[in-house]
Amino acid sequence: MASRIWNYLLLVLILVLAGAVARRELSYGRFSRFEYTVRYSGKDGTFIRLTENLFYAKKDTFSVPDSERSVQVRKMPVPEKIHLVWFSYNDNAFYEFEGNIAAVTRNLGNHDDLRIEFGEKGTFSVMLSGEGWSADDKATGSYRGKKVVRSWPKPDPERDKAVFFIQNRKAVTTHLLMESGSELSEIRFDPVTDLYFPSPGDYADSLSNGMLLHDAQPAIIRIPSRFTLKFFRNSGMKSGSEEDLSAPLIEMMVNFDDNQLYRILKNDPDEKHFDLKINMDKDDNLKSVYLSAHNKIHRLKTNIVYKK
Amino acid sequence: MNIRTAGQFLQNPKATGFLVFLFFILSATLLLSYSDYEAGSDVFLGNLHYLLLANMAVWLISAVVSPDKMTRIVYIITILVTFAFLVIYRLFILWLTGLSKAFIHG
Repeated sequence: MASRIWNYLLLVLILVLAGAVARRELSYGRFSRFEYTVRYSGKDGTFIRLTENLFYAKKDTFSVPDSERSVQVRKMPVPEKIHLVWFSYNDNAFYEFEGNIAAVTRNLGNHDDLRIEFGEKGTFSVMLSGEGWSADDKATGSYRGKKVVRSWPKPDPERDKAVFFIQNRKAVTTHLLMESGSELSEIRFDPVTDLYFPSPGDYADSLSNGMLLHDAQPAIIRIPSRFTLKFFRNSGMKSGSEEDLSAPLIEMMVNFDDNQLYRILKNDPDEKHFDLKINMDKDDNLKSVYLSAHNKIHRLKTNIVYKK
Repeated sequence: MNIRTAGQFLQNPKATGFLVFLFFILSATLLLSYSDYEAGSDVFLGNLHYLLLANMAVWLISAVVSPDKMTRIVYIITILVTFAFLVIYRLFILWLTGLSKAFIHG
């Protein structure tokens, strides 16, 4: 008798469990959830800082963490709506966008990339990429944000300097004077904007009459925050001898003071072109670095780190 | 199976085994469903002991109400084996936690 009652009780428990499983699965929508990556970037030469972001994916929301430029989303519905607030260093302004992007994202599938690329004047594109996507697919949408007033996030006082360096692009012609018989191997300049946004450096690979060349043309670079110079030190042997070829490679990294660069450029806002002169002494030590334009010559403060 | 045969089935003491098994499967499915296991969450493993304790309670009641001695022994053995698993699993987790703490603190 007890066994029969227990069987009926178990049946009730089982029906309750089955109902709970069915309810959960129906509301969860397991088959409309995907794994995808959301990333954002600025178009070439566009520098932005995303200060707020929220992606609405049905009942769920997610955002890209402040310190990252991408987030990997696991088992989420596709985002249909977004809320973005970003600061454009190029325009020195905040922009906001809240709207529907489902026209693009409804095509999103498993392991695809959802990319947001910011452009000038508050524009941005939402793009899909991944396996099976071609340029002909309708996987891109263009949107525009509205200019808004926002306060600058507290722990970053560098806004003015960053905006200034990004808005004021100056061309710099480079010169290197080596008094010893050492030979240039390579010189790389990291642009000053690299302090705020990673960007590829400028190179020079040969030296002719004191002028640095890149692909046989005078090397014109952006204002650098530092340069890395590699050269073969002459060991006193005749040029071209076996010992000379095996002479050690010296590498030095010379850092400039970005506050000094900021002051120099700010005092000369109309100057578009500068000359950078790097002078080495007979023992291959850095003697001086000058930044000049017309008759104004500024000796740059340097901090040298040797690598070997 | 119509309602009459279903009623006959439930009146059979041997049906308990089948129902107990179904209860285990469904309770595990429910926990899996809620634990977002596909998203790499550890909710399932974190709550595994609750699942096993609830099922052990069901097995214990089934053993008590079962008229057959052999069936009772099978339930008791299953409970003991599951209990041993829980103890070993708990010790294993403690050992892993200790290892990770030791690793973090050098």
